[in-house]
Amino acid sequence: MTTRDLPIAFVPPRYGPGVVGGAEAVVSEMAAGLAARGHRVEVLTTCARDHYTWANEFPAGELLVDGVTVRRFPAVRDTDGRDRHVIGNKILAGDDVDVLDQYRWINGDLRVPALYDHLVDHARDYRLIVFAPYMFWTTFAGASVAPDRTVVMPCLHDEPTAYLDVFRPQFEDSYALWFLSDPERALAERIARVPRRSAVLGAGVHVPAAYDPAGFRARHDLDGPFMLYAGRREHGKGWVSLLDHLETARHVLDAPLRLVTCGVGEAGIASGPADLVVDVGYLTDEERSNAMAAATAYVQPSVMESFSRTIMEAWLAGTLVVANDASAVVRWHCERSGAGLTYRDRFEFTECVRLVRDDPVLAEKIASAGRPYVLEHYDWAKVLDRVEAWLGEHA
Amino acid sequence: MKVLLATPYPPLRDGIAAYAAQVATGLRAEGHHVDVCSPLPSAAPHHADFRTPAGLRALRQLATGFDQVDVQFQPEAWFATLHGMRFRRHAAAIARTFRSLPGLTVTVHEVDHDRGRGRSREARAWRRLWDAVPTVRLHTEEERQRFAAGFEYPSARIEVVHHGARFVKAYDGDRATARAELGIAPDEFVFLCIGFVQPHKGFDRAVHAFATLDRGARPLRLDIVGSVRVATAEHDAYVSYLERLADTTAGTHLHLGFVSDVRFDQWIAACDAVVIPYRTIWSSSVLERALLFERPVITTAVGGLADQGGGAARIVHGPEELAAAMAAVAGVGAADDTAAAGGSPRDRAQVLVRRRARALHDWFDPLDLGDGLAGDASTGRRLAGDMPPSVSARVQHLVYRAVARVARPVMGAFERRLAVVIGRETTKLREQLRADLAALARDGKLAEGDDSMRDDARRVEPPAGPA
Repeated sequence: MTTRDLPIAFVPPRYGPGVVGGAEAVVSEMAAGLAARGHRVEVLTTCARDHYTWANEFPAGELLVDGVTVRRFPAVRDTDGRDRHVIGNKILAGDDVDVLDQYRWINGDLRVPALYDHLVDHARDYRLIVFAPYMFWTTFAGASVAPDRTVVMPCLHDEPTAYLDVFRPQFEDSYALWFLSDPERALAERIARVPRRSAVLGAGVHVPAAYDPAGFRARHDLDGPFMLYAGRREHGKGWVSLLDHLETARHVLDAPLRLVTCGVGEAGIASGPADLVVDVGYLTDEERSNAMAAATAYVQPSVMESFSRTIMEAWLAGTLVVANDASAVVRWHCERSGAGLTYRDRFEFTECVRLVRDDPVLAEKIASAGRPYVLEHYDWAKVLDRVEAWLGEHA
Repeated sequence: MKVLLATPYPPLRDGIAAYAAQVATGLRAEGHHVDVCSPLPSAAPHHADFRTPAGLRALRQLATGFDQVDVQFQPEAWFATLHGMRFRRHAAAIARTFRSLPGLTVTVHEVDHDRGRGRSREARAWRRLWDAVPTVRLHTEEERQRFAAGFEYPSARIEVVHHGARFVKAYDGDRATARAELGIAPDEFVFLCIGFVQPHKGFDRAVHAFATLDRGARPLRLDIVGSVRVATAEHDAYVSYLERLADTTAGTHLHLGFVSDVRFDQWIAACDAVVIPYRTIWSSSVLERALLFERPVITTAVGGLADQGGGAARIVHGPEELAAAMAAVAGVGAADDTAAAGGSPRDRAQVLVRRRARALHDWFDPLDLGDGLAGDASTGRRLAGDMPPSVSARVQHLVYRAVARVARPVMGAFERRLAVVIGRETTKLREQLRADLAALARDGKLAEGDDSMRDDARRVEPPAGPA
């Protein structure tokens, strides 16, 4: 048996039905795609579904799913969380945090000792071990086991944690890094000495066969134009600032568009623009695509994006993207595709809303450039072609 | 009839004082005997500080023998503070005074109607004060509704009087004469902003709108005329901002300085349109004087201005509408800067969004104060300029301040105590090490020249700091 006959392992912190997260989705799709093309693929992950609780909701052990061998290991979270919290706040505040504290921080939350043991015992049994994203313990600990066959998909954002010393080895000592976009690679190169085999492979999105916007409206009792936000309703994802901006838009415009939101996390809209926000809860992939098609515009308020799958989904559905300009990646997509507008503050957000509301024809015209852009660059088949080409050359 | 006016009065440079002078003139013209008592020494024969019990007493004594007392009520002339026991006590004293005045009518200026809402002691004091007034006069229907709702005051006891009913011109020249005197070319179209230069007047908005006009079509100019009423840091910053804007916007002329009544009207006579881009206001004398001279008026829909302007004024709600109104009045178009963006529809739309957002920013928050220029919510919050603050940011800030206030002294005490303990323990440790070293040396177990342990002992020094 040659090395090329060995399985490729993907190591995301979570995997499986009901898991919400961009990096997790990319890993899941890539693993399934490579398996469908005849590669031996394993997924090594935790039993957790929810990254807030890390509760072990899936059973530990081995399972074959669509040609992919999934090995689950119990998530352990046995500290009181104080180190994690206190040091984490220092990190987020940009304070100097020494390496020992950085270790206390990364070890102060989720750990998966059984996964680590598995990697120590079996790393040589894999052709490659692909970890994602960079900031979780699974990547931090696992990438150090067998750097010579480790690939990290960092899914990197320009955030304080990206600059921590403890993450430097995975960026510099791994066999390669796989990036989702050019701006992400540029950021990594500013932070670390990136391995020479690294490449921008991108990620893909599935192209729905059909959309049912009318059905979505009917099922959720929605009429009239609306904007959509799909994703985690978290401070870090720009949710709070989006609500603030919406409040400004409401005060400036007679009748701004409503905001329909789906995803996980507390929407937390008891006050402010509560009357403008409709929370339809967690949606299946298919229903989320229908929502994208029904929306007049999709809003991406997050700065922390390394790819932004949801804007691709919006463009596939022919919907304009209105995005936070502070995300280098999303801005790059909007400019490169010509299919999205960006805003830098509450006033620009308001004017984007006004444009979408008052000139839907222009909005549609701008959005029309989105679908060809996604199909050209981010169709899964093309992404997998790039992955296979990289494997052929380097692994 | 003998009428006593209790009001700010010229030569104070103040809209209410000017208004009171016009009222006095009008009443005298009707054959009434008019006397005036102002809160500060002025051209009025009497003065009394209405903010003090002595001033109220003087007013009561003076009013004896008059048939009617007209009060021009502006809070800052009647109260030293609008909060607490001092306010409530004085509000009660004013109410008693008002009850004693013969034929009292109170014309209300610049009162926040929301102060009467709710069950706070201040709100109840306001309501009791107005309850003592048999007739309240306001300038617009909008104000009547808000006042009645805010202070639970009977609408039937409110008279809406036309702000400019008694206004007379202080300048009798025509447009050509006024222009010649002011050095303005006859063929230029002149937009005028006039009045005290302060942030809530929003003259900057007019400059931004003026900058979007196509000045190639005909010669246009914008003149901003006025003085700074009160020198505060915010007002100074605003004047600097306005000066920068005027310097960088061709056709804009800023005339800072004292403006007499004659000069004021001369400017109105000289102009082609008066722009009133206020962020907050109740009603406007400038608007009345512009109508007196039959000049077109463009005004924001703030406070009672829309009512006051009636059908004679163009009412605007935002930067685009202001620019469009100015363009329409001057008969010119707007300069199109999206064409320069070229490229895709997206690029042009992005330029449009940025330009409009810049205008919004300038409209609401030109000095980057974050939550917009301070304004009074009762004067028309939506688009009036006082943008809603970021609630989350404010809450975070308040929580941070509260925690910091408690935590700082606690942490400071803790750190000092810790330093003391560390110092004491390291001293003990060092002494112990020295003793051990001495014992080892005594027993001959420490080799000659072996200083590593001595180095260790030296390293254990007390930390620098308060210990």
